Amino acid sequence: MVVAAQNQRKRVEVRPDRSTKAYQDFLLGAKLFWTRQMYSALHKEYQDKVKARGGKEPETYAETEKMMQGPLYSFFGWFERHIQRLKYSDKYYGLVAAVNRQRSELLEALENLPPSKFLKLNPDIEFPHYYKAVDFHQHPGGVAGDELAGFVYEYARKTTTPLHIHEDDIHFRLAKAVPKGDYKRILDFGCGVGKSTYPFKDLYPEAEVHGCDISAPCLKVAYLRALESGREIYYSQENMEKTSYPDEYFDLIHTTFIQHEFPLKALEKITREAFRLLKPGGLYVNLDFHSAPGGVFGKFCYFGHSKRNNEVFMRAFHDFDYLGLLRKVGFKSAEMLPFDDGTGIVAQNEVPKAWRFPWQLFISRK
Amino acid sequence: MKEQTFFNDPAVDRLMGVVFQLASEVYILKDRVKALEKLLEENGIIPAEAVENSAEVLSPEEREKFINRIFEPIIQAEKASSHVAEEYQLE
Repeated sequence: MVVAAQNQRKRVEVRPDRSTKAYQDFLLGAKLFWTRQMYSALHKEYQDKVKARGGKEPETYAETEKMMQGPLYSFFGWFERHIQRLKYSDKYYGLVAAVNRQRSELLEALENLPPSKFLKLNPDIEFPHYYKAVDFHQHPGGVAGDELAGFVYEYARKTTTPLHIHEDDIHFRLAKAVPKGDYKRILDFGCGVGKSTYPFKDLYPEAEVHGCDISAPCLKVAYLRALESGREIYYSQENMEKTSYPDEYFDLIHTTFIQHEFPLKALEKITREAFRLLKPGGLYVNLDFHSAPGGVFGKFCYFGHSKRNNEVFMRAFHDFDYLGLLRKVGFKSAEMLPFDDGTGIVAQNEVPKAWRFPWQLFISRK
Repeated sequence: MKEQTFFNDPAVDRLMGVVFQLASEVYILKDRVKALEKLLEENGIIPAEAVENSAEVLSPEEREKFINRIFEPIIQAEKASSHVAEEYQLE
């Protein structure tokens, strides 16, 4: 096998120095403090304030924000915004700085990737305006802005969800949650650095597995890791609104927390594109954030996250009738299911015990 | 792009930056000192009193770098390092 022959390559990775590792570890500790203690204290303060109003909960996000003004919410916001900013952008110990210290070595690794049918790049691809206009989750320059952005993103994921046992665990959970089927061809739609693609290849080794993304730096890292791990996966640089794959090419298409990054107009185009690419009877699976549990307080935390972490389309997607869109586009069935991210399932009316993303699993059949 | 602020007085945002970075530096040092002490002890190289009684090791340049790093947030408000175009900025 072509891929197996490449298997002996030395692993290329970001190796932060001791101080950077300690700094990033400090940020992780601070984030865990925010996720558990600060969040719980904020929830208690919310309950106390509601009680003081005679039990009347605020009705809107704006009203909740106003009610919650005070030192604790200020610190909560500061931590949420700046831990993430410093993770990437601290001048000395941030991940961008760490990657830049290894710049020539990492660039060389990407430049020396063997030409292959498994990596198809499109240097003429046009990036949508919204993609260039927003540095999602505060990644400076976005995940396609720098040639080494894929390495930065790959490392940054380690602390995005600090309560997970491992940053890749969520991807295996998704692959296992997808109804079993005789999938001949699978697409990871918006695959990023490829971590969400591998579990599907592992679970369906006979299937032809594809991953597409608009970011070449991410695809290169995805391909590099596939080479290193001996997985045959076809990566292609694509705009998800209009890809180069033929009609009815895939039996299964899945996305992992990417729908919330699109403005609704683009989301509709992308949903139509997924429908076009699927065989009749094919499955479209989205693991994403929607319908935050925990009533007003749950939404207050989630909408605040949207603003504080540059997730500017998150709120619109949260309130959007996505199931309605899936049905309008032509999917015969579409449902939203609870998803266990490893911290358990949270009922819709339950306030999570620690800060968490409002995971939901969408499964639609063409 | 102007960075977000969270306190009524933006000075507190900067001060929080100072405290946070200072705490991170303490943590980094704690890690290095502990690693060093462990190595020294394990290898029987020097007794603990030798560290206590040793001459100053930090140069004025190192001191300046340290001070600049800790107090930088006071001098200028943080600039956002990620970008959201004006038409997408949320209220």
